[in-house]
Amino acid sequence: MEKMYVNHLPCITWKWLKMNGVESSDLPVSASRITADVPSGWTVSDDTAAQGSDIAANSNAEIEKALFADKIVTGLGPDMDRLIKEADVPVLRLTASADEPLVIENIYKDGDSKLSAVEITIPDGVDAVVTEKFISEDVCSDGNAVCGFQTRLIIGKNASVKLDQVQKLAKNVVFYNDIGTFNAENGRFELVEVILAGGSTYFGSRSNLAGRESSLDIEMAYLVKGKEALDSNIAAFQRGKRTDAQIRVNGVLKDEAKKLTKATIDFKTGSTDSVGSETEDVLMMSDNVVNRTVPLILCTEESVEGVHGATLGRPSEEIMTYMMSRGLDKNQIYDIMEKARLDAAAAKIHDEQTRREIAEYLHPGEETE
Amino acid sequence: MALLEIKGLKVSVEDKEILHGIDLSVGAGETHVIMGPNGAGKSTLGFAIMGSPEYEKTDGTVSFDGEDITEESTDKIAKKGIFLSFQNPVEVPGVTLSSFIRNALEQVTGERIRLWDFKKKLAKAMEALDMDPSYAERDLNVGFSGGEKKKAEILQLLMLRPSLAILDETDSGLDVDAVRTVSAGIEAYKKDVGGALLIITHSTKILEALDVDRVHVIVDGKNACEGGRELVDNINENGFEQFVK
Repeated sequence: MEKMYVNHLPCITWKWLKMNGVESSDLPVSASRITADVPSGWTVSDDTAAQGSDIAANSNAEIEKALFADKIVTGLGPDMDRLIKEADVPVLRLTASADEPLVIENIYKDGDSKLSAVEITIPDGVDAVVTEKFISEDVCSDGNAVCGFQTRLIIGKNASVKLDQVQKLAKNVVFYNDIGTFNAENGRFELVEVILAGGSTYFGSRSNLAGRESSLDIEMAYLVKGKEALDSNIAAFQRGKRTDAQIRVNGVLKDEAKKLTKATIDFKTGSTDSVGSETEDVLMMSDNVVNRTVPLILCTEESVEGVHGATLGRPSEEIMTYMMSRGLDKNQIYDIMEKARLDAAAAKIHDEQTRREIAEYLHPGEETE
Repeated sequence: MALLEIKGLKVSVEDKEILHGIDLSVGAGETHVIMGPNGAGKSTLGFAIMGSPEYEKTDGTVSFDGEDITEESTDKIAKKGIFLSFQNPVEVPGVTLSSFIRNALEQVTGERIRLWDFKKKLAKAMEALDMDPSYAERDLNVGFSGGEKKKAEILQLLMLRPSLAILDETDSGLDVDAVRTVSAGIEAYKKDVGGALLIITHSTKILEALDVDRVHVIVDGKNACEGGRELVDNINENGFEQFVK
């Protein structure tokens, strides 16, 4: 595969806006086996074959058909599945247990071109916790790397998975982070996504809320700075009755950063009494940043409730005066406000060591909890 | 030498002159009260001392501790030891009360503060103000009741320990119990820090437990009268009408 098309918008808009999807030729090519200390209660499958995909990456009709057939279609989309298959990536297939959390740490070096995939089945009634870290060996490095990671989650009846992801990559790293979930009845998916650094990040997460009362809760916080870019595609495909999708994105853009957030709540026929909400709050610290947001609410069901909202800007003059009256100068205020957003999301991460690592990165030399 | 010395201060907001040449002198550790009818310019004086950019000083000088601070920025004035308790404290989403105070404390003292020591001091001050400890980890002033916002202001006063505190209608909108708690906090500041107070107020309830050194009446942006504590009783009895020309 020479090119990959990712983050296709679930309902396309004008082509000239360049928001429908991204074509990229910087692709990870080396299959990378995930090495993780799998907790003893979890089971590892012998089947490591990737499934691939026969769905067109830019066809919403085909994506929708697959979702109605109870399949997982990830946020980045079918091309990522094809790439994984083509690169012969060994998929780590696990069945979760509630006993112990799973931590997968991916450390990337300069020149890496790694592609990895994990598929976790959360059996009925099991509550699992998973932490995934994507870290550059030297976050200050100028070296190039192109890496990708896919997480598929099959969430059983009355089961839940709390997935915490942290990304801290060097400024020239291209990274594809792909998530897809299938949620059975009352299957709950909670994602805390903290993006601290990375050159060009393509992030996608799509949940197939097939089961009655299944739910999705995403808390995403990002800091995009320098010449970094972030392209996100978050989608909730709400099929079951009384499903619930909550997407909250808080971000900070600095310097010449570029960011596009696509968040879609898609109420399908039959999703009676479902609710969905998507909000994004962006703090723009420079006049040179590019901030684009596409909040979408699609609806083919009557009795549903969807809310979206986006706020952007800088702290008001009132806030600035108030904070300055306590001895803080403008730069310190910006610094506090930017870190506060990331701290708030980081505080929700379950793994203590990961929380500590984020604190050390955000507050170097500072004593934290 | 006075701690705060204001001479002939004129202040404009959006090209409209609000203060027309105010004089004021506050000694270290003294308690002064600014009174006056609505719209007299009392809060403007507080913001102007604090160097708020919306309040343009067009004439006169403000000196603090012998140093001219007329043109200083708000953050530098705060670092020199002046604190303004806001009449309407601003809500700051995303920044917790605890982290805000810790950051501010490090700025005004210029020292790193051990987390454990800070938490201990904060808990003690919150207890003294009868504040629910959970407020420490809530976003600054967001969703706080009027009373809790004022308590959060006094909490900052107790933690930051300035040498001059300007309290802008700290007692307004508070019920009797909250006024009592806030007053106790102000007394604690006087006792522990020994700083000077400049209290801008309409009511006199907050003054009951304090030794007031001077009372200044401002009317229409000018000094209208000055006296001792007896002036408070006079105003309580006869109102501000007597000072309006």
